Amino acid sequence: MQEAGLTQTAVADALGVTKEAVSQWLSSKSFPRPNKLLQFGKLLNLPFDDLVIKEDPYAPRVAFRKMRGTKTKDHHIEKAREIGRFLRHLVPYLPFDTFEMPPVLKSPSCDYEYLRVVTKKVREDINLGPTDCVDFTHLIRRFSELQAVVVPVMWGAKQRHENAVHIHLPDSGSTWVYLNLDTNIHDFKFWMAHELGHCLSPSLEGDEAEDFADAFAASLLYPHELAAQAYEVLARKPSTAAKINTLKQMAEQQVISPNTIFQQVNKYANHLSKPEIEMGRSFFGAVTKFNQQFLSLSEALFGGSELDEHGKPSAHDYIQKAEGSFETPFFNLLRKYLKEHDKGPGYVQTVLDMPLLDARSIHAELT
Amino acid sequence: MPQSKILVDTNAYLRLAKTIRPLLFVPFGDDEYCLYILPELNEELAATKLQSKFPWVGEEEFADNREYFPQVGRKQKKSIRQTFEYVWDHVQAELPGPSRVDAWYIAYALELGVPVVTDDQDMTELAKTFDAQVMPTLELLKIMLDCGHTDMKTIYGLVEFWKYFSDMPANFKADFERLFGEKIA
Repeated sequence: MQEAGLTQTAVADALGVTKEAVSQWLSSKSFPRPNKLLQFGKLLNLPFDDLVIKEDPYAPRVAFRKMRGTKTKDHHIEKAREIGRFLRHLVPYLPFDTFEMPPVLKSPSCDYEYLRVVTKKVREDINLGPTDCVDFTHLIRRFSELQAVVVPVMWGAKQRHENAVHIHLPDSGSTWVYLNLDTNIHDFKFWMAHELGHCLSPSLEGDEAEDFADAFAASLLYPHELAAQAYEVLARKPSTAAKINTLKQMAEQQVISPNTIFQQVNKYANHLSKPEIEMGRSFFGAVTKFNQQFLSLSEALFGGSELDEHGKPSAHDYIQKAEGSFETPFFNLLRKYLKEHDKGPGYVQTVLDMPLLDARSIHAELT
Repeated sequence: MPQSKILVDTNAYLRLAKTIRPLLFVPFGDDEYCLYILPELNEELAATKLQSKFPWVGEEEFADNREYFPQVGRKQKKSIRQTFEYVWDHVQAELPGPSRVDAWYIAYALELGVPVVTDDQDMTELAKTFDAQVMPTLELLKIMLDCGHTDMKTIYGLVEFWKYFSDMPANFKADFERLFGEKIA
């Protein structure tokens, strides 16, 4: 104010308030109404963050599963936090007890033996043997046991920075996992397992959290026992081509990417100080080709629906399939909130981060 | 005479543009009223993943008409961004409902001193909170009617169109009676 050459009286006159009001704002005894705050900011030519000290001890915590070749920037984090702030309004409608914490890992780590024990326990919890194939339904069930709300979204195959977002709201202890259905079925399964890793390790943040979630997902989907068997088989193969073909067969059985298996096999080898399996440069091209053979999850999910001439499902089908396949309470929470608070499509647009036209269709379906 | 710009939000655009053609960038009346959208509106209509009641928005005639935006200088742009930050913070802290694009509309309206046409109740409340001028779609139609830019036949047609798509503006009946002096079923 001094820099702008303004006194409290001058500010009060310019804003049409009393000098006492200005004095109370400056001593943090009261906060201006939004229109007066804006006028005050304009008068001083100050951006919001320079005028208002914001303390948000319960700021939403976010983690991304990024698309290949993208970089997380501040605006990606802020946007996910904005979604988190909107999600707070759905918390009262959650179907589980937000007073009790679900069981999480005490000190998550990427140590091979630690992951082996933890993922073995998770497998036991979902009634899976050490070499059984992990299915989507197993992962879905575990999410709801961890009080995490799965939000299946259609964010497109290319346009986005992220393919999955994990939003944790510390004030309610609730967790929201956004999963992009427009992704390859193998990647989708890996991301689901990755997000499960995040749900089990809320104490971790940043790269540490990402590394753990990746290692957890790989170990859960392709555990030590399978890696040991695969190592012995691959080590005996005489050529790279034979190794690639074998890896592809193994990947088909487990509905995961050949690359996940390859990585797990070499982690196993390193752990036991055995020589790594070499695959050569052609391997990664073969993996891409292999993954391209499969439908995206949205294509698989809406295959039986009535699609329009552009191959788009109706909002009704989207909600029904998403609710049915992922056992998610999300749309029901949204339905209740929209109706009770008479909210428009703008809320749906922000909370699902989608174009308004789609948000309108969903809003109409839910209200 | 300078134009009297009016901003049209996405919902209002969808209610009007199929019937009143072209809707945007056509001056009308003695006050040279002219309707504008923000570039962000086009993003709201693009890359949709679900079936929509508005497949016509992608047709060339409508897409071409949506290429005109209010001209703002660099300084004004900076000021609009600053206003947006205040408006958007309020949405996140106190008034969940309006989208980011809605908040941009309010910021533009405040900075340019022009009204926004919207029927969205959250956006209307947001506009009022920040002393931005706001009017429902029916009020815009009343202005158009008074200027001879539209007629009652078109307005009745629009109402039928909205009914058919279950897309009635909020407070429709009361607003219609207030503005056009007749009750409507």
